[in-house]
Amino acid sequence: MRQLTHLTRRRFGALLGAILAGPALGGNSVQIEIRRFKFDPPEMTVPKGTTITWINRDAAPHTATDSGGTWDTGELRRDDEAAITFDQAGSFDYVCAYHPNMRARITVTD
Amino acid sequence: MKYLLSAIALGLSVTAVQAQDGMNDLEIAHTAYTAGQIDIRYAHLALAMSDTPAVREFAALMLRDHMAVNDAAGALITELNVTPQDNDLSQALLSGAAQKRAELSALSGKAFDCAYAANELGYHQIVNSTVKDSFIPAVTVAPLKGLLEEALVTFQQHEGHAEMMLAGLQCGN
Repeated sequence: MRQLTHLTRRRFGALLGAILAGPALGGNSVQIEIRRFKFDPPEMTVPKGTTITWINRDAAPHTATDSGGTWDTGELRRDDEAAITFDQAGSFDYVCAYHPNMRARITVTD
Repeated sequence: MKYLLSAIALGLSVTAVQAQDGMNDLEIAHTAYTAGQIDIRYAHLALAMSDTPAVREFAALMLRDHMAVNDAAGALITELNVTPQDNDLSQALLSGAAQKRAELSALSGKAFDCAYAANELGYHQIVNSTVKDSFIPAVTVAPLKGLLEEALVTFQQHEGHAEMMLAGLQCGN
């Protein structure tokens, strides 16, 4: 798992992150919104190599944190975003570390 | 504003204060902000008084979330170029909270943890009822209504979390 970016709302950061994240290197890129204390969508299946970007739309800070401890976006304040590329197949349950009743799942296929 | 008056009577131990019905937007904004600040003060107290991980985690959550919501409120106030209006209900809340903090400060160990957890549950229940049933219907400015609606979602999460914390502390044993 490669944590590639932790972006802020600042345009510079977004642009820099886009360059560093490199979802255009051949993988897919998808987005998960955090809004009203829910991950949307709560379940997602993606092919290996996909870069997923989480964006927090709540005033309250959140994280997307793998329950197995292999990846973590870190704290996302409102309109912050972070991207992680999934290059291994598997099923990943994750939570907000601050609000553990926020649960979701990513399935990565070969 | 009957809910907050009930809170004052039940958990916030303040002398009877007659809150005004028909609060305007600026008064509601002031009271909502004040309610958040009060819980931030409770959280600081808990972090100073408790060594219990569940209590400390909850207090840290309250600090993080309420500060974020109040920051959003501050940004909205700046954007709208308005000044929230102090009012009797805000003053009653502040007075009650000061008394509650004094009560909590006299406790230690499990007694403190249980009193803090019970107060957090009761406080969020009452605040949530008030925001949902009184403040949101009364507010006329759309951005403020939106902020209150978002804050309510946050505070409802806290209420559920406080309930779990209280149950986990096994205060009846």
